[in-house]
This record gives sequence, C-alpha cells and structure tokens, in this order.
Amino acid sequence: MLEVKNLHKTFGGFTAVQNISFTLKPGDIFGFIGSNGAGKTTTIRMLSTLLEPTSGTATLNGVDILENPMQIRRMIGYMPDFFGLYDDVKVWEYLDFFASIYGVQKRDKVIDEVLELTDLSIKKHSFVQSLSRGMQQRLCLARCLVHDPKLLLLDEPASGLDPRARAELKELIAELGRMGKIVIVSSHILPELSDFCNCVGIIERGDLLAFGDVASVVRSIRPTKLVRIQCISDLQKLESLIIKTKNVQKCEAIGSGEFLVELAGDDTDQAQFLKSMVDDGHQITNFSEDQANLEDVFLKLTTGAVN
Amino acid sequence: MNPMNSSWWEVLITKNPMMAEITRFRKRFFSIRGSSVAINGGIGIVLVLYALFAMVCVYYRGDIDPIILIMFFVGMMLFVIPLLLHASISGERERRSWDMLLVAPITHGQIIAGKFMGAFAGLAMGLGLYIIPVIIDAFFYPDTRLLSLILALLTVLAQGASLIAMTLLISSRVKRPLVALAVSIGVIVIYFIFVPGLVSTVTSFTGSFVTGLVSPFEVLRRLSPSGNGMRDAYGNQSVIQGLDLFALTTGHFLYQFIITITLLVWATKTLVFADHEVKFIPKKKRHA
Repeated sequence: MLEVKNLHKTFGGFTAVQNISFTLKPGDIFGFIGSNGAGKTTTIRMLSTLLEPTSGTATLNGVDILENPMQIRRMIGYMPDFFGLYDDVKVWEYLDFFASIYGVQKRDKVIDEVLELTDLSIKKHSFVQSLSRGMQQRLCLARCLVHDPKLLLLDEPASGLDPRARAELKELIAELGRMGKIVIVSSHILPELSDFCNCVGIIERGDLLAFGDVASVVRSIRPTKLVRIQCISDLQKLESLIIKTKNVQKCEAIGSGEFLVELAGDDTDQAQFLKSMVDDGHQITNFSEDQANLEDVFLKLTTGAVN
Repeated sequence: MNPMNSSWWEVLITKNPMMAEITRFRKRFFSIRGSSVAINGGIGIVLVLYALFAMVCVYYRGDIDPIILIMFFVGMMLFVIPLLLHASISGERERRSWDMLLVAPITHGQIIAGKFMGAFAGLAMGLGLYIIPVIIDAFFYPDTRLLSLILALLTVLAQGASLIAMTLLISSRVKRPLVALAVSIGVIVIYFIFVPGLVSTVTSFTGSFVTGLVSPFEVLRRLSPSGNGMRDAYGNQSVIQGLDLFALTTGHFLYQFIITITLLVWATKTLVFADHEVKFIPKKKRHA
C-alpha cells in the first residue's frame, strides 16, 4: 500500500508540488497526467527518494520515505524520463551489475526471468547500445525489476517509442499490475493511459486536480450522460417527447434526424428512456452514449498553465 | 546489509555492492571484446607499446636503473588516470545513468568507494603488467636493492591512489566529462610543475624534507641506485640508505594517504552537486 500524505516541494520561490495526497493499493496502475512542468517528475523523484520533500511524506507498506530511504529503495523500481545505459556492456552484464548492487541472490535465475518477462531473452548476450530504443526502454524496465520491487515509478516510459513498441510496453505494464505491483506511470499519451490504468491523477502547477478510478474521474467532469439518438420517423414529435422526459436536461438537434441529449440518472433511467421512445412508435436507428475520455477531462480541468 | 550493524570496513569495502565496479572497470579498459573503437584502438596501441617496452627491457637487461623505469610509469600515470577516469561520475551524469545509481540502496560513500576501488584495482593490474619486464631488468642490474624496489612500487600506488581520488572529486564536481578532463590535467600540471618550483624555495630553508613529502619523483630519485651522486631539480644531492629509506617513504605515504582520504570524503559530500533538478536555481534560494 502506498500512502502519499501532503507531499510538498518548493524550490526557492516557487512551488513545484502542493500538498498532494493519494493512496494506491497493490495491483493499482496509476496514470499520472499533467503538462510539462506540472510537477509529475518532481513527485516521482520525491517518491523515489531522489528529492527530499519540503514537507509531507509517503509510506510504502508502512515504511516512510524520509525515515527509511534505504529500505524504500529496496522496494521501488525507478525508470527516469531520460536515461542512459552503460557503454560496452552486454544486456546480462548490465542487469547483473544492478542485481549485485541490490544484493540479489541467484542472480542468473533472476536475470533470465526478467529478460523473459520483458521479452529480451534473445538479446541476453547483445551489447546494450546495439538495442533499439524500444528494447532499451524494456531493458531499463527489466533493471527496475531485478530486485522484485513493490512499487514501480515509470516517468514517461513510452516517450520516443514507435506504436508497436508502445503497445508492447503497455501490455508489459498491465502484466506488472496483474503481478500485484503498484505502478505509477506518467505520460502525455492519454488514450493509452485509460487503456491500462485503473486510476488516474491530473496534476497542474503542482496541484492534484483530480484523483480516482478512470470512470469516476470522467464522471466528475460530466455528471450527466450524453446520448446520441438517430431516428427516421417524425422528428418534431420525437423532440417533444424527449423534452417532456423527466431526466432530460438538454436536447439539441444536430441535423440528419440526430439529437444530442443530456440525460441525468443511471443506466436504468437510460434504458427506460429508450423504451419510452420505442413504445411511442419512433423508429430509432442509433442510441449511443458519448463517452467522455481522459483527454476531455484533462482539457476541462487544466488551463495549460505550467510552473 | 544494515549499515548500522556493520563496521565502516564492511560497509565500504568487503560488503560494498559497488565493488562490482572492479569487474566493470576491468571489462571496460582491459578487454577488447567491446564495440568502442576508441577503447579497442587504445588497448591495441598500448599492447604494441608494451611489447616494445618489454623487448627493450629484456635486450638491455641490467643496463637500465629499474627505478628510472618506475619513474617513467609515474609520468604516464599522471595523464592516463585522468584520461580513463574523468567521466566516471560526470559521464554518468551526462548520459543520465546517474539517477539509477542514486536510487539504489547504497550510500554515497559506497558509490565513491566502489569507483575508487575499481580504478585502484585497474592501476594495480596495470602496474603488475608493467613491472614484469622491469623485474627482468632489475634482476640483472648490479645495484638493485630489493627494499628500494618494493618501496618504489608502494610509492607509485600511493601516488596513484591520490590521483584517482583527485580525478573522482573533480568528476563529481562538474557536469561535463570534458570539463572534468581539462580541470584534472590542469591540476596535475600545476601540482607537478608549478608547485615544485614553489617548493624549491621552501627547500632552501627546510632541506629536502618537503620535496620528499610531496613529490613522488623526488622519492623515487632518492630510492634509485643511480640517484647516488645525482642532483635533483632543486639542487639537492643526497643518498639515503637503511632506516632512512623508511623515514623518507613513510612521510610520503602518510601525506598521500591523507590527501586521498580527504579528496574521497570531499567527493562523497558533493556527489549530488550537479543535480539537474536544481541547477538553474541560485544556491541561496535553494535553501531559502
């Protein structure tokens, strides 16, 4: 369990992170969303013990990052946004070096396992500089995994990757979540985050504007449902029926026999609404909910201001 | 390992996970299996020069003072150590592999100790290879004194240790490897050219005590059989034997040891000097 409590960081005159708090449980994949300079990296660096918070703290399985940084380091895997690998070492040597630093027992077995997990077994004896960008990214992730951390801090892991490498990385992160690890991923690629994150946080100017599972965060900006209705029968009659329906808050004709309806209530109300139209003899050809996505949420909540 | 329950020796040396640097250093600079053209080319040139050196030593065995050959090694060491080590920390910072070490469960002291031991093991290995032809020459050299030879080798190692510590300190204080190299070479030039000039004026008051303390060349000259009757760069002429040898070298070793420890502690204290998160913020504001 990761508990972040009022984490705050100031650099001289300006505030990079403002009293953010959240809790994550094992298996959670947390998407950390924000513009450049919003405070994502500073937060991640504080959690990784690289930066000391000005105030506040965080605990991982009850261990405080300020009181026991060495113990925390054994429990986290940190992948920076930009990273370099050592020259002139082979993939297994690179992992062996870090495994020995973390005091890993049975290093050969562990290295084989993480290489298999990251799909790099075939490159075990290759030099790291000969790997593609996507493979280097996976190798860096493999390095984070050699000591079996409880928490993974991945700062922009998909930056600079081609679509295939991104898809592979996405699947790998989802697998790590299934293994029970807490994963914090910061990214700008919002549709991808919503694919595999079960909770998200939106940060701007160091302030955590929203936090929760993806559905609840989306609902927080749009409490009503937006339903798209297409009909081939009498449109005026349909419009008057829609307006009279009790949960409808707004109805807008958008042409070609199509209406956009803002509907309050739950799924039952939505089903009842459809039934009432059909019972009234309208020939409905399309009845679909316009799902808000993380991008909508992000654009609505943030102003684009950066520190 | 809980550092609280271990002695400093265990924490920094015997149980320091960063001792893996010894293997990494060996594989990087003593192996041609890598793909770096510069390193492989450098190793190739060194091997050719080493073969030539060995042939000269064997051919002229007994004719060359072995301590002069050791002096030659010290001369090379002054420039080779900064060349190999200038990027040991600044290079990690530049290529952004530094953060990965800083988040590992090791202290800054362990990082510096690991880097130091990696380089020192490399120096010992290099000296071990260099000394083989020198021993052949020394075996046939008529005035060879075993004690002088051993003390000369220890002098090299003591000077090498302080050079490694100095390069590590400079590398930990700058953000670019080339700057680290330039500063290291600059310090060496000042220390081994300008300082002797300054010391020579002191020597006129103190005898050769100070020069024997700070200059490895002076120590080696006085350990050398052919130093008998030679004048040093400061105009001194002296021949020492027996217990005086120990007195001379002990002072020098102690001086180098203090310098080495001081520089390593300083490097440890300033390891996060160039943390990129705060580089644009004036120091006074950083701690406001």
